[in-house]
Amino acid sequence: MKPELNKHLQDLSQAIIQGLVDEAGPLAEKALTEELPPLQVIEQACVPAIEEVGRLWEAGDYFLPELIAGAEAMKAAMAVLQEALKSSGQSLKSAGRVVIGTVEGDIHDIGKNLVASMLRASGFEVIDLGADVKVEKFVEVAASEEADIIALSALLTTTMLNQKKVVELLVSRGLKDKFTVMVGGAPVTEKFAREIGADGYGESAVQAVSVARKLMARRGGNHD
Amino acid sequence: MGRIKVRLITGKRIVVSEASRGQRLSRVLSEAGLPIKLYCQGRGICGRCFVEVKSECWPEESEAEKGLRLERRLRPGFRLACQLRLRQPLTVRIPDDLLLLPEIKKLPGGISPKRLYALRDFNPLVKKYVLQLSVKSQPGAESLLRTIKSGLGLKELAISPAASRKLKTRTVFSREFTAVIYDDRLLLDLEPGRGDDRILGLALDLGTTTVSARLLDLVEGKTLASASSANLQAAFGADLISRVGFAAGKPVHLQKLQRAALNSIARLTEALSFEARARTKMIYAVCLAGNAVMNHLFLKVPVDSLGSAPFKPAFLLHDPVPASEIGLRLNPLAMVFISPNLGGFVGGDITAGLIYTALADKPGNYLYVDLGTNGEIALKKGRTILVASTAAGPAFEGSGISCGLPAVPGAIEYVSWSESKFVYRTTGRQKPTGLCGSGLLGVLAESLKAGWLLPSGRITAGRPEIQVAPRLALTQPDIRKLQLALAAIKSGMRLLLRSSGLKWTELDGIYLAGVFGNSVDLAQCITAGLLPPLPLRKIIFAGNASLAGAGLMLLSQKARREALKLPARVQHISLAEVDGFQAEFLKALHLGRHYWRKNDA
Repeated sequence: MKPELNKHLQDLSQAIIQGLVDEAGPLAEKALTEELPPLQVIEQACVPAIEEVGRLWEAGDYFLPELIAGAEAMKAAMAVLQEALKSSGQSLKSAGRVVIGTVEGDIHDIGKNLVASMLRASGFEVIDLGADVKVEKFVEVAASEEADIIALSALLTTTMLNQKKVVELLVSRGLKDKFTVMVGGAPVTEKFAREIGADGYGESAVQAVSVARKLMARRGGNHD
Repeated sequence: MGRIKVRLITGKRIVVSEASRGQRLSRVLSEAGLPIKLYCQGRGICGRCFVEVKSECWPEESEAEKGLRLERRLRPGFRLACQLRLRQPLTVRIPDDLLLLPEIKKLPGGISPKRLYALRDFNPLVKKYVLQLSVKSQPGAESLLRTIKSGLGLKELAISPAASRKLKTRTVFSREFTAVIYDDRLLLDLEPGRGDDRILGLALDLGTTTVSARLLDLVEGKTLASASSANLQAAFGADLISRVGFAAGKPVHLQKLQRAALNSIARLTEALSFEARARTKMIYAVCLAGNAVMNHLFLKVPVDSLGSAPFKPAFLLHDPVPASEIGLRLNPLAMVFISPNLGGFVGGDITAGLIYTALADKPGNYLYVDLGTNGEIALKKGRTILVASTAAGPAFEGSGISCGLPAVPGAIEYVSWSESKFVYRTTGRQKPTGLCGSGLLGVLAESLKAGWLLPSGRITAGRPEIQVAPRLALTQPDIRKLQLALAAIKSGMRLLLRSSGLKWTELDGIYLAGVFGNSVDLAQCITAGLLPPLPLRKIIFAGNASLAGAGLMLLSQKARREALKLPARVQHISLAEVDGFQAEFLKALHLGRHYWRKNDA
């Protein structure tokens, strides 16, 4: 971060890093009243801050509560800033559209919620289908919402096989190339992801964001 | 293709075996009669099955394997047994604690006579009565049965096929004979004369990781011997869900799991009989208290429904079954009483624990917490009992922690901080080789107090890890795993309390049962935040309450009746589906007593 960064931007950035959910929104407002353009606030304060949260997580300094709080603070700030962008006729380019859920037979959704929060905080549009989601539903919603990525979570060795079923359904409907599939969850491994034909695997919510970015870049490459 | 020679060295012997090219070492070991524990079912991700290659030429090592090896600070030459494929003759040393040749550990204690007295009911599951017919009695089968029923005052007595046969063929025709009766309702057998008067009962706590058993004299009501040993099912996966996955849809696998459980039980039964100078033939009654998955597997009932939501067991109540039908070699007439399941993953082990602590009818509000890989919690408030299970994981059994150990000799079981260093005590007073659950909890508590561990779980004061003893330290990832395990239990207690509209300050007591041994320090449990900060006198260490409860059910008909009534009385709560579960879980990740103080009361 540049040392001469505006004080308001610094405050906002700190609020996100420290996960001060109630302060992030008002601090974003304040920055706007100082005539700072919303895009600049996003690029100079919010994005570096959420990246710092991710870095602290990877370093082991932050754990789940701090990570979630950071993502929530980011969300509060972004709500204000996106509103301002809209009223000035601009919009933020979406990083990608993700349909996410915990697979059928599995009711554990903390991990999935974390990934959804981190993706949202990183500029993705996220459609969260919740837990115990039928195989069909993932494919239907991805099609109707024109999603880029289908993200599947499973927390049990008995339910992770349903991740495979989603991939199989995509293949049988000839939709495998249309959507990119990423998988995660405690029992899931990189190897398993490859075996079932998923396109990406993230070990943590922070990794899931970088995997999603990479997958989006690859999709962009394919379309050109 | 030629066979490859493999020399397998363990602490006690050297086995020379042969393998085919490309075969995995774990498989070779299993075939050579040296099966090892495969915590992740041989997927190469848990990093627990390292063996030392003693040959000069090391087999190749994958990146993932190398990562796991460096994490554990092992020398080059260590390889994962589940990943190593044989291509050349090898000599391998297998650490003893990896072998699945479970030690049989003697357990202290029995049913306290006080507890039996409080129940005022001594009525064992199987009894023998010596009957003498008067000279006038008619010797016919029908009239003999009538005489037995009226003589014993058991009008509803049913007859087993074996007893029926004996009656018809008039095998029992002497004036004096012995009737063997199950639970005052089934005539199991008739023996001529005064039958061997020793009647023993076997109480079983069939756990995912450990099987505990207790041999009782059903005539005198006393404990003869107790012991525990590893569950041999571990060869098919360490946790419940991996065993459910292994058995689901595959009758052959289901049978393998049943056989492994039976073998574990048979080994224990033999050891106990030897110690009690008895014969396994004297065992007429068994009470099985196992978690829901375990009692399904014991009975070879498919577990598929426990593999996915809504996680329903196939049965709550199960009729008693003949031991011979299951494949337990005891007295041919022996019967197995199944402690009922309470729903979801709350099984017969918890029923037994609740019976032992007499929780159901105690006036007041009580929590019962059974710590294990699958943590189970019961809350009793007034007439209602809520139960829930929570996936705590095996961290407190030492699994997945870099310096973790189960409670085996050499495991640090207690620590305290004194004069700027850790003072510790190991199981069996041996040289420390790792930390077991109570030791790990102690390190958390003492480090929080000393201030180099923050309630957020971050190791601070410039230390990268918490050094406990030479070469034994808890790393930051270790602390994170312990936080997750604690949070599962804490949030479970909190959500049950909230579901019943109770504050922890309104609790009259907490029973702590399960994985921790007698060495657990209850004050440390509070300091670490595992239990709410109630006065210490309200926290009762119940040890292996499941085993004690199973023993009690063998001895008391009242205990059995109460157990059978419990499934209809309790309300099962699926924690993951309770509103606010996630928020509560995240809060519960905070260590220390502050969690309880801050959030209510």
